[in-house]
Amino acid sequence: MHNGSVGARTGPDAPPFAVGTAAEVPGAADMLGSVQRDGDALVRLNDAFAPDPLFVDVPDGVAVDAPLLVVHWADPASASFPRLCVRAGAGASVSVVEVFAGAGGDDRSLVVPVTELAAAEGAAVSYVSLQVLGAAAWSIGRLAARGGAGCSLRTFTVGLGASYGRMRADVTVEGKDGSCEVLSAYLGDGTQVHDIRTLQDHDAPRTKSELLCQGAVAGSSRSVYSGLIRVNRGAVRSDARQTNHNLVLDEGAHADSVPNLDILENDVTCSHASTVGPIDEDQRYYIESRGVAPEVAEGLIVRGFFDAIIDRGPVPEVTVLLEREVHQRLDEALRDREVVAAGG
Amino acid sequence: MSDLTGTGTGTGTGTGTGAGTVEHVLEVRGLEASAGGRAVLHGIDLTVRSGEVHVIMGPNGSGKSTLAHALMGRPGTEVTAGSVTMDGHELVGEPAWRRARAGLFLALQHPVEVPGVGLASLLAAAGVGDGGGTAPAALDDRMTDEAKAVGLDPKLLRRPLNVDLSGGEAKRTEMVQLGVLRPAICVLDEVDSGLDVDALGDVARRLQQATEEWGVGILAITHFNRFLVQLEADLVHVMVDGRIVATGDAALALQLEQTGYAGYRDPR
Repeated sequence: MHNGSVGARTGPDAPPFAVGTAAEVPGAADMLGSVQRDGDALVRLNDAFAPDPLFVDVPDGVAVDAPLLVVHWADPASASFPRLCVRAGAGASVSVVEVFAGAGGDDRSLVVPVTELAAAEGAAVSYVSLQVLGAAAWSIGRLAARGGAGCSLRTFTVGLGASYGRMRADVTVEGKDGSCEVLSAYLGDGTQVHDIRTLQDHDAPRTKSELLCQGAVAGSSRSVYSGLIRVNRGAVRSDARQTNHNLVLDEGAHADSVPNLDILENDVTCSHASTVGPIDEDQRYYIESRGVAPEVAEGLIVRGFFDAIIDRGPVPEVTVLLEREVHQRLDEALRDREVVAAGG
Repeated sequence: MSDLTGTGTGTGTGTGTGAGTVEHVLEVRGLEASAGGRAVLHGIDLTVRSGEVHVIMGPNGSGKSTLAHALMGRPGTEVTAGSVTMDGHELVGEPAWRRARAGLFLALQHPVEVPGVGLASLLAAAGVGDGGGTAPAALDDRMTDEAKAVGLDPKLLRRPLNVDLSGGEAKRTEMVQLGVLRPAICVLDEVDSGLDVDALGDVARRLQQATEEWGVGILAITHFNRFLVQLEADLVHVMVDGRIVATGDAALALQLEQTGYAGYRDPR
């Protein structure tokens, strides 16, 4: 696994923040494990084997004006343990995009990424990850984010590749008036499995969380969404929303949706909604009634389903990249399918 | 749809073909249909030609919407007898999209929200520009012109289809689609539902213009006479219990306003 980072620089052209390996970023040791505090066996594996964790440390009040791009490239038939730690100081802002790619070929690969995002008081951290690993890879990812008072944490994980792609995103808002937005999109085809786990953890008064997970399964692929909203004691007047929509594009595909609430405080607002089903018949009829052939109508609707969440993504600079990746895979997933016209 | 290629290079509403318009005719003969397994239409006969305005009025549950969907070919609305032809070409048995390509357009009572799909994508997929070489920019211009023609803020054209639009905005968006697609025959299901007086006026005026601009034939289902203040009806049909029980001129609509439908009901 190689990190394609910008590396640490010093001198007059150096950016006003630190990025690099533990040796290059002062205080890196404090960052490691500060968000992902106690992990399961896979996090421990990452702790043990991450060869060269990457650190991004943005000092108080610094606004990083362009997104940072981190590409993890996995060799074929390899096991790798990417680690990224991002810290934004008080009032700082930063956008990070992480891409997991490679692991091609027919031989199994294992990728176990752990990403930690820490937003101090009033900090804004935007994060997008794109998983486009090869078809024989297993990806078992963990995203952990914590935010202080008045923070804005926005995460968007996109899972497209891998044979088995698991993404667990735990977002904790532990300062009053902090907010988070947790987005996730996944698309499965063939025999792929996407396994999405989320936690919206409210640990201070008047915290807000909004979650939207949307995925589609084609062929004989499967997806599982399981999400928990936890409102701890003291998190009064918190507001948590959780929405999961699943499109089942073929009869052999299957999606499960398991929303959960764990509310230990009074005077809070929580809502959850989830849907699992084929393309909406009314949408199909409406589009087709304009003279659009069935396979084209289906493509438009499913593309729109993904575009709607991609357009909400926290790093607009990569919207086009994400749309292109999703559209390309969608075109493949929808190709050669039997499509029945509305009213046929 | 032949009109599409004919107007593909147009950039606005000023390309009306007037008297030179090709004549189209939608003929409905002995149409019987069921919806949700229940027989609703019991033999409908109608002939709508280019440039004509037909209005169908009737009490709730008389089968008006079923007629609209039977014409367009909605799944679940089953034609059990009779025929629907466009310029002599049978539409029954054809999927909705082929009926649209044959020149039929249905403005829905409640236009459906389609997240993430823009109006321009829909119209491009509908074949606007087929052979006419309409570039995206030209399509954009046409959409903007059509929006202005019906009092819709062009900014709303960028929204995903009908998402978070008011009833009036959604109906005006349907009119934008009508103006860009320029179908031969337009059916409007419950055109007045969800519209305030201003929106109703804008929609009615646009339809009236369209009958002259490219000679669209109109079959409008409505509850209220006020729609006919701006849209001049050639024929008003009264529909009760799945049948057309009376046909007259605009005066019939006025009369219905006074007397209601009681006199037309089956005296069973």
